[in-house]
Amino acid sequence: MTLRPANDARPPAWAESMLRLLLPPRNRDSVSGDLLEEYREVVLPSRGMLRAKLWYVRQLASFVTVTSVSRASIDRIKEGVMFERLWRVTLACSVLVAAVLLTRFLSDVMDPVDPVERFLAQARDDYSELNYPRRWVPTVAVGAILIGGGLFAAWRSRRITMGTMAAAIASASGSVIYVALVVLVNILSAPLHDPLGDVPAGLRYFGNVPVMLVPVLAMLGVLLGTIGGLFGRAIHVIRTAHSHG
Amino acid sequence: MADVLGAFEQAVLLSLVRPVTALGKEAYGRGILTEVQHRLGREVAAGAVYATLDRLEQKGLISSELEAGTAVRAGRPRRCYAIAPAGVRALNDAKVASERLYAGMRWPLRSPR
Repeated sequence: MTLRPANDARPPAWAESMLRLLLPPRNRDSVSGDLLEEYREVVLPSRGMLRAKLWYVRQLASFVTVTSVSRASIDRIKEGVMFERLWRVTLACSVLVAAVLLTRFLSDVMDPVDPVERFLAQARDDYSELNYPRRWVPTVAVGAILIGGGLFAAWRSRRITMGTMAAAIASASGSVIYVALVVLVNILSAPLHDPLGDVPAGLRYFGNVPVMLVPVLAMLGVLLGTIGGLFGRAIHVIRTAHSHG
Repeated sequence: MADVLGAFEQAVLLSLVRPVTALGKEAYGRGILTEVQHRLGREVAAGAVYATLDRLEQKGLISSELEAGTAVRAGRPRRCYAIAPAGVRALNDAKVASERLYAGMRWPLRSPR
């Protein structure tokens, strides 16, 4: 067994997290850095791993006061309240995302693009994506919704992470709603399908249920929500600077 | 005269006025902790020192600023402290108050019979 070098060693992760939780934000990095430095340079080399970890926990205990615990609780509550205020924009975005995706799905079902026509268009060399707005309009619309949601959430909360979180939740839940609606549409339209067709009635579109859309859109939500969040935060900073002359 | 400083507050302020340990001279949290322990001759809880530093800063007796972190601290910044003129005055006041308290006493004190 090889011991890790002292400079790479870490105190228990839970204790570090708890310490950061108990500290006021302005001191989080500096105090935890001081303790990490002492842990690595002095305590670990002189006392060994187990006693060093106990030392760290003892230091953590010295930060547990009525004030620090109540401050940490208030911080948690504030975050909860903040998200509570943002749930409406998150819900609105997720409904919009689901609506856009469902509109695209229904337009494909009701008026499918003739693959022969597209093939001929490509062969004639006059094929353009712009001639098929249903292919790109939903993508642009979903992108705009996620960036807009992230921007609004970050602007209201003054935190970029809230923009990321709102857009990620909106995109994931919106795509889940969409997938559920696709399944529902298939079930409801089952009697309309030809029972003698090559696909069992009611399952005609099941093979195309885009389950993979959920993780893909969630990742897109993180990315676009962060971009929106950066804009939202920037707007807040600029407006604050203007209002202070 | 402002509130008289407690003994622990005086120890923290004195460690900023004239540190004797090498680490204490660097005047950041860890150095001050070492210095206070050296001054008081006992182990001191880190939480107590940081809480005192916060309180003294709120009272305007010390000031602080962040400095860049090093690799051993995983890049986390150091908060370096300096005593403010009000802190020096508070220490002088505390010394005067202590001397006034002991004025007229014969040293060392003896238990009353």
